[in-house]
Amino acid sequence: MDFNRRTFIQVAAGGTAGILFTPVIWKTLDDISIWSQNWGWIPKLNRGNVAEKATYSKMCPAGCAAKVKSVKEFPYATVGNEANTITKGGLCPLCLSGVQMAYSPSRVRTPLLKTAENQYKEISWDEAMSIMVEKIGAVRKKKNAFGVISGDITSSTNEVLSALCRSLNSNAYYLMPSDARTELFVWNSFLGGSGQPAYDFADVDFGLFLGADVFESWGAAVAAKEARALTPDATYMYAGSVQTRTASIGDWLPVQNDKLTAFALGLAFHILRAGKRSGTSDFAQFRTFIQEKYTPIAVEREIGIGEKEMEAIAKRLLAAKKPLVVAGSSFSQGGTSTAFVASVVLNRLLETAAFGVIPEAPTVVKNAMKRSELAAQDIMQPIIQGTNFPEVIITYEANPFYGLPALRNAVEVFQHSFVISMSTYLDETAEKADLILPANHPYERHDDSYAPFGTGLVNYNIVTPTMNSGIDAKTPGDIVLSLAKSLNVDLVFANMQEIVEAKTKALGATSSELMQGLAFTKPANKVPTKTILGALLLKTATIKENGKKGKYSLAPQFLLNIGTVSLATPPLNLITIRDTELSYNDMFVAMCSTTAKELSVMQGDKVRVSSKVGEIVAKVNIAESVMPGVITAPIGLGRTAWDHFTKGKGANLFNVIEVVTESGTNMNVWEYPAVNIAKV
Amino acid sequence: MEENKKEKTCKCKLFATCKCCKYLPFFIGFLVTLGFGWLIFPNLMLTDKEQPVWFSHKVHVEEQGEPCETCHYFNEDGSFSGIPNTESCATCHEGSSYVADRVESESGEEGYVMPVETKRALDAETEYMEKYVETGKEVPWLVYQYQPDNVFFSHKAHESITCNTCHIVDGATNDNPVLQENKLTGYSKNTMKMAECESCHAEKGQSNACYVCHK
Repeated sequence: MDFNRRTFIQVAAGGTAGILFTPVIWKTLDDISIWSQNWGWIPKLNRGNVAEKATYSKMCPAGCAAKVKSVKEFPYATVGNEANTITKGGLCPLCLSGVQMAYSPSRVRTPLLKTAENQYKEISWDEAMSIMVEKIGAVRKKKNAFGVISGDITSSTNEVLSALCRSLNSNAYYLMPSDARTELFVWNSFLGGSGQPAYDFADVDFGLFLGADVFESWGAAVAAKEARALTPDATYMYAGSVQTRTASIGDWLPVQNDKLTAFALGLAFHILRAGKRSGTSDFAQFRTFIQEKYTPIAVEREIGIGEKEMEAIAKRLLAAKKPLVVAGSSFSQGGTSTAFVASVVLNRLLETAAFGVIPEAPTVVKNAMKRSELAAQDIMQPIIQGTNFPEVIITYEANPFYGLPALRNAVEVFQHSFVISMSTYLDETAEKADLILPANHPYERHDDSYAPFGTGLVNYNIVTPTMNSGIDAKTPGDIVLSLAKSLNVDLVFANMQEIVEAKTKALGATSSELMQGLAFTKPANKVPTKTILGALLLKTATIKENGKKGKYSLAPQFLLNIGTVSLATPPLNLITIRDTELSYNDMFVAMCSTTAKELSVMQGDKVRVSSKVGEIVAKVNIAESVMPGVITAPIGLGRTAWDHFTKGKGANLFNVIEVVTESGTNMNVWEYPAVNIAKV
Repeated sequence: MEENKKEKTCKCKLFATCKCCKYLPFFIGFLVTLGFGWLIFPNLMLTDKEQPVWFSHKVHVEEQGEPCETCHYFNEDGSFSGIPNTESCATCHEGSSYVADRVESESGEEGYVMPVETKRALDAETEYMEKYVETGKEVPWLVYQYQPDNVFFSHKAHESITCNTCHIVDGATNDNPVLQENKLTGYSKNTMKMAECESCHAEKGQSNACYVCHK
């Protein structure tokens, strides 16, 4: 056999055919495809030992007991802590994103000094401290020239800040607007109470909610939801302008938000008729007031609900073993006093064990303000007056440049102050502040939480550091303690850890249990008989309209997955926003078909929503879950700062929310702002 | 004339009468590559790798009576602990060395000759103690069934299946086999391929939807 060209071709052809019957080609192709999945720049999972550390996550207003999970000491997730008796393993959508937010691109990484509009210079902590000492030192002798805006009512950091405030000749301590602040103020100033109203959802068999989106965002929503899970036979009724998420799990009674007080007092009429009494000093006055003004005919005329239906609801309340009435603003701020007082009246007439009082926490920092004192000042007062606003102001866990009503006017007032923002993120306030101090993430600090608003027990949780993102940030309490020292103000404690330890001791809690994420709890007190029903307040408190009122009512919604005033939507939550709430950069306002017909708009049309203070543009979503004459949309969108995940998406409702004054209490309220709507 | 033609085309006497002889080069090429593809190529792509320390499952399970769950357990959240870390191993090994203690007690006996297996165990334990327990370093164990990051495998969901359906070592294994690593992909030869997962899922009536394994 010669080996010639023909033979070679034959061998090659045979070889080629043979190779096709082997794994060579197929296996190589398969291996190449797998190899291409493992190129160097593709991130790799960090496999290793999984551990978890307990803490109290303060991403949401009430906070959630949480465990931070890490692999090889790299935190990657937050899970609920089932051992905690308040949140019972539940976790809100914001705390769920807690770890991811620690790695957010919008974190403030170093102290920054504003040099011009939107221009900052990186400075050291020492330089930042010198600037603060200089600015605050210059005004320390002037009354109320130094001020604080706090967005976290539960932390002992308020003690440090308020003690510093007092030492600097100032009472200008403001809480960001919330239902918590409203209730504390009304309860302590008008109803003769002390401490904080307690709402114990455990074993509640009938809940009546007046505008408060209890199972979504009002108060301690996670605690309420977990309690509900243990009482599957309980029933609920939600009264309000919009069928909220809370309304979706019970009966929805469409009542305009501004008629909820009349609705509640109409129920009080039937409850009084059933023979219920209260031993308060103003009971007789109250009964006469109700019997005269809230007769079934008067109530039907005002809110359109007939006597039989009202009586049936009252009977449900009377028949319940543990009923609970909760009132609140649809977006947990700007509420009137009257709806809250009416809910207190109902709870007291029903003598329900679900309503009680949480006493003030003992203060451990000398000269510190109690919670009721923190709530005494209304931030909107100096803003509306445009005078007596502090010259130097520190913001702590607060974002007033995003979340104050009539925002444009509010921001103008700040122009004359030197604003120091202690912030974890480059939010709207930080972006406009004169000095930005990087606060560490809530999972990186020592902190605590005493009785979040909406809880039903005396409760205390501590925050222990569970991660370190490596950013040069500090605990806000520690920053203030250093500042106080530099200003020669002796606040005794060296850091927040010492304050938390002292608070633990003062409350009689066990440190080792708190460290494991267990809550210190005690039953709430019964409502003292010395408190009153608020008959006089109900008689006198009315809304004073400033000029011509808009034709439509705006009922904003506070949805925790979208975020809060001080926390923009976490990137992980963006997929939970419905396409009827936000589509690309367009926000939707929902209205029913009757309202849409009146406005001659259709689904997806653009409308301009305006008021005396500003306007926004949004698309129309037609939904029959909104009463005629009402529009609704979520707060938390329309960010002008933060990161590319959230910036510029939707519109900020605070731009159109107008503030009105409630006579009788002289409170500034914006619970049901009036707006005009026009097709664009 | 006919014979002359045969001689001209084929000088091979053995196949002088074979009509297929003209296809012989094709068959040779075919067989050579077939042999290469099935016999040589698979091993050509693999590198043999030894475990960093000799470890006997048999010693731990059969001799020490430890159940598998002592080291390979489910966490509270259902995740699988996998291979124990040095800290876990040290809870038994630190301070007291099992093999060394045994040798010490037995070596006092008259005429004691250390068995080969005991010597190997003693050497391995000594090496393990010195290199890892005392330094606190993790042992870079080689995993025979290491799945890529884009595969979400839950041991909890597969709890009812015996371990060695997928794993090549079990409680009776005395010598951990050599890991054959693919030079191109870096994965073990024993890493289960998607087709095998799908086949088992299909047999057991489980979903083969993408999201079941790829989150």
